[in-house]
Amino acid sequence: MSIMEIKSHIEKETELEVQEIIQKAEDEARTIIEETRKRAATIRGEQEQKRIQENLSKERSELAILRISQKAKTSQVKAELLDRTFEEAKKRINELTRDASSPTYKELLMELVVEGVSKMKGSKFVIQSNQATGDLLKKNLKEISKRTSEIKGEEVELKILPNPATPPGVIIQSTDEVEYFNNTLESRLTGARERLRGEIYDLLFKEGK
Amino acid sequence: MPIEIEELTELVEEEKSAEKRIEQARQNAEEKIKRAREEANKIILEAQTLPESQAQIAKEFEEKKKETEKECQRNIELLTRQAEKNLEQAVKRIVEDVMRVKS
Repeated sequence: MSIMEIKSHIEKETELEVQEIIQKAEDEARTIIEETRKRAATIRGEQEQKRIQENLSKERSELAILRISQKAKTSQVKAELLDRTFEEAKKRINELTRDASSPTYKELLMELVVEGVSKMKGSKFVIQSNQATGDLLKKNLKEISKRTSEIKGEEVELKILPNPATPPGVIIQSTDEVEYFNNTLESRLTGARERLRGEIYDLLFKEGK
Repeated sequence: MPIEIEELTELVEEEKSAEKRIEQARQNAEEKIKRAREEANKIILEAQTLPESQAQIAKEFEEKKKETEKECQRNIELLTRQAEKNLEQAVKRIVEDVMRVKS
């Protein structure tokens, strides 16, 4: 083998080794990147799933809290509107009964006494009322006594007891003060509020009126 | 055939040059793998970082909440309007009940 041949051989072998080193490095680098990309895709998938779950869970709980608070707010508004309605009714009743000498109040008053007496035992009663109402009752005592006696089927004895603290209407007591019937308009309004709450609620919030 | 000193020297030089080339190739190969590893780390870091869409999702959720609140407000306004429309009838019903006496 000549020196030239040896040199050529060395060069060839060197070139082969260099190419092998380069090829190996390229393969290894490619493998690193490919595997990393697969791993990254898995990580992204897991992250995405985790995030979706977290977001869903967060949204659900926050929206649930929000809906509860909105429901409470709506209920509060409804309750306020209901209160306002009863307040308005109270004003109207006060206007209707402001004039104690009006025929409307006189008729109502007589009915209030008759209703109270008819629902109580006995025949002797004390009627508590404010001064203006008391005056009106005194003026019409005969007629009231007659009507109550007719209803109870016995002679009824009524005594008027003025009490400035009594709201419009009457409080009827038995003479032994054991039994009483609160028939003031305030008391009747309180009763109406309890009884009619559902009905008024439906009336207020019904649609299409 | 005898080899001359000069030729031997040439061969040694050739060998040295070959080793240098191989060494250079090895260094290049290491550098290539190092860069690939750096690139891989970068890819993993990017994968672990929350994408910008997260901010978009949060924004959309906030808008959803605002819309729900607005809907509640609209509902309350509607209820109030209904109640105002029906107020007169409701008040009349209460007044009638309080003023109607059954004896």
